Amino acid sequence: MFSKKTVLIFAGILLITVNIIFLTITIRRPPSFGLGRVMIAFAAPFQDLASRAVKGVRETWRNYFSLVSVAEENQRLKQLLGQAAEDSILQRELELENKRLRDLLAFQRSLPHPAIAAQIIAKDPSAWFNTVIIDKGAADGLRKGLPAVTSRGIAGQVVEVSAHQSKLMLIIDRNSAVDALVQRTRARGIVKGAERDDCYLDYVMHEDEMRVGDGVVSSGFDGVYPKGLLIGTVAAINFQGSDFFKEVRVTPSVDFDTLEEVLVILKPTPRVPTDRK
Amino acid sequence: MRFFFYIATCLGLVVCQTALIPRLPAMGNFFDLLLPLVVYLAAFRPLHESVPFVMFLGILMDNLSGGAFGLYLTSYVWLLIGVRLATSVIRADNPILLVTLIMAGVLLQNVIFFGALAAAGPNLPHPGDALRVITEQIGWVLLVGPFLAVFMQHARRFMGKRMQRADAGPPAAAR
Repeated sequence: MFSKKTVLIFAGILLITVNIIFLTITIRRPPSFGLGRVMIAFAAPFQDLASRAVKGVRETWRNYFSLVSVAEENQRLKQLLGQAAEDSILQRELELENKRLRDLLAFQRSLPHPAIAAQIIAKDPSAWFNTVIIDKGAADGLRKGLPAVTSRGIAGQVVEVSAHQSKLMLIIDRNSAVDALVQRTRARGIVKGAERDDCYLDYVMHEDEMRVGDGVVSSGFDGVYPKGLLIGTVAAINFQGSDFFKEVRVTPSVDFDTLEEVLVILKPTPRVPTDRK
Repeated sequence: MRFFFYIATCLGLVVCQTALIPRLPAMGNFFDLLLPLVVYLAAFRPLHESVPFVMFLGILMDNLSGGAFGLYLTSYVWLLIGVRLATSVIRADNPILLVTLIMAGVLLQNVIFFGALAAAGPNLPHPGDALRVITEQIGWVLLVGPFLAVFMQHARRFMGKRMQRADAGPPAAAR
């Protein structure tokens, strides 16, 4: 009855008309059935996932750069902290050194002769001897036999001198000997070095009175150490009735483990006798 | 050139021993760090090379120490002789042998020092203290010795290669 072409045109016009009518209706009054909610409920999780993924990637990307800068900043802050800690240690060291040197300076003023401060730069390589190397030598006026002291007492004497360094034998060395007096009773003896950073006061007569805790000072008779400098304190006294001498252990007043600076007393050179006529 | 290398090594060890180690806690009785060097020279280097340098080491240490002059020299020379004799019958490649030789060196040195102190006068160290010092030193050798032995073997190989290169002369391109 109708040709195929006519049917297609008619169907096209009908579809457009229905579409226009539908759109006219839906524009004026939105549909209220629940399909929209279903569709949203169906799509939303995926949208959410995609959205989170994008956000995640974006944030990771942003955080990465942020982390890089934070890491750099962290590194820089760590360096600053290390530097500050180093400065702090250095400052503390300087403070301590300053205090020690002030003590030495105050002590130096009380000495009868001029003195020069020297730093200990090395210790004896052997475990059997107690000598140290100090950073002052002949160029600074040092010579063999000069006494070295600290504000806490006698340290030792110069036994070898080079141009800018000297070797100092500490009073705890076995070869060291200091003529000494027990301060309270004036009992006399020779302080000799021994093991374990201790000394012994030898040749103390058995009748000489002393007790643990008595101070031991230099007598000045040995011609090396000025009189009255503290050596240490009596730590123990061993004496048996038949002995001629007392065995007296003396704890030095100087802590040789932590000794870092000494004052070398520049005594005037002893006058060498000229040829006798 | 080789002697400069030895002198630099020796100075480094001396500085370590006298200025660094004494400042570290619990290391007051560390063994003489030059003993391994003497063992190395005696075991792996020819006499004409080892003898003058061992003498130099001994004289240097004697001057730095407060003991009688010649104590270190004596201990080093006797250690040199002992190690030469030992390595003439046993191969010194073995790290255990090297550690044993260092330990023997520590003992020998302490015996010489103790003997010198005994000869010097009655003011001898207390035997208990002496034993403690020697035990601590041996302990340090046991702890550090294996590393030193391995280092010595590497040094020996390194020096051997250098010697071969030196014997072969300059490369052809340079001739």
